[in-house]
Amino acid sequence: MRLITHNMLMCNKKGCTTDNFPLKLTATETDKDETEVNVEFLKHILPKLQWDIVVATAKENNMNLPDTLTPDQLDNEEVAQAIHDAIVDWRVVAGSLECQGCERVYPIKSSIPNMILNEDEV
Amino acid sequence: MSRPELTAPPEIFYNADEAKKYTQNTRMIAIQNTMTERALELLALPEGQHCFLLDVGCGSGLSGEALTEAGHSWVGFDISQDMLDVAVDREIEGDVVLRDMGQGVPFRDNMFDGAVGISALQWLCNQDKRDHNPKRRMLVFFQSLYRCLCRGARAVFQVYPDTPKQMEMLTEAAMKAGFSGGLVVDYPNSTKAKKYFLTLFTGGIEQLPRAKTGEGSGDEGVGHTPHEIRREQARRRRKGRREGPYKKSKEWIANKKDRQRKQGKDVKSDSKFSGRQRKPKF
Repeated sequence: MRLITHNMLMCNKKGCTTDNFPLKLTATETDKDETEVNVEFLKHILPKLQWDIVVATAKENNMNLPDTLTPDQLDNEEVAQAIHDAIVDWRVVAGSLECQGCERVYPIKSSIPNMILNEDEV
Repeated sequence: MSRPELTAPPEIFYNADEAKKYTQNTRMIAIQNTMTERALELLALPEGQHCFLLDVGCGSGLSGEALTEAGHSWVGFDISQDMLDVAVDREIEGDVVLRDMGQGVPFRDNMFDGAVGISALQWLCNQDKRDHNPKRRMLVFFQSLYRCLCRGARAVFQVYPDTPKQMEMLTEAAMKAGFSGGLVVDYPNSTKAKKYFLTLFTGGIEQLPRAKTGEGSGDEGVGHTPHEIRREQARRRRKGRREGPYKKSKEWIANKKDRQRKQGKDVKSDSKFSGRQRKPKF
């Protein structure tokens, strides 16, 4: 699972309506892909992401990103590369996601988060 | 046509064996690919823009590959762990999440520029567990999908409905959730090539895209209303009958003798009387 996906996932267990985003990410095993930077895509997706959460989660996992972001900054190759590394290339292989509202834990196995709810949680 | 929906729930039907088929069977891959391309066409995304899409029931990522090829990024979810494992093994570009679509889409609001689902939605019509209520699951799914899509975005689902009633239920649930749009049926006159695409819009009333009929070069003009299609078919049948000479005609006999000569059979020699029409007898 990538940070981009982490930034979108939320808990919708029955009755869980407050603090169901973001899920607290704990990574026990991580991996890194090497893909090409696509600035157009970054410009398109970044306004949709909650940047403060991206920065905070990246920091917890020893990655440094600028606290505030303006579109012009993406023209700087180094900044674009750093953002790309953090939100697209970096991948959680194993770990867990925890909802801060209802404390439901969603495990991540072989880089797939298991978001299936039990029958009594729907 | 076999119906996997009738054999077992999706998380059980799509086991490791079935998942393997989706990576090795070239016919399956080709079909998935063309259907995804058609779905993309119906999505009508802005030209040349890198979009962020949702793949509902992404499975082993075949449809996702087609999305990547078209130059888009995607995130998908599916209920089968085995299929997703295959997807991860194949190093697909998008991220995948394990999730039952009847429990809703677990993403934040306004994230996606569009959604596709290839041969997935019909599974919602089944009641696989005691507490499953197909109608409610459909509504939960469509409502959460509507939330996740940007304004003006579209969602296209290729479906294999078992009965017209199922299609009605799906469309009704989608409309209840706030979507507009409807069903596009490609190649309606063919049993095999016929494909249903549930095309949904989030923003206002739009014209439903035209279905493919496979007639004419530019897919325009002749052959759209039933009587036009019937006339066209009748014309073709008539044309087909004219191929080759009439039976027992002079030409037909000559052809037959020729053929038999080539086979080395004993054949009477040709004369001016061969195949001549006889006078009527009284």
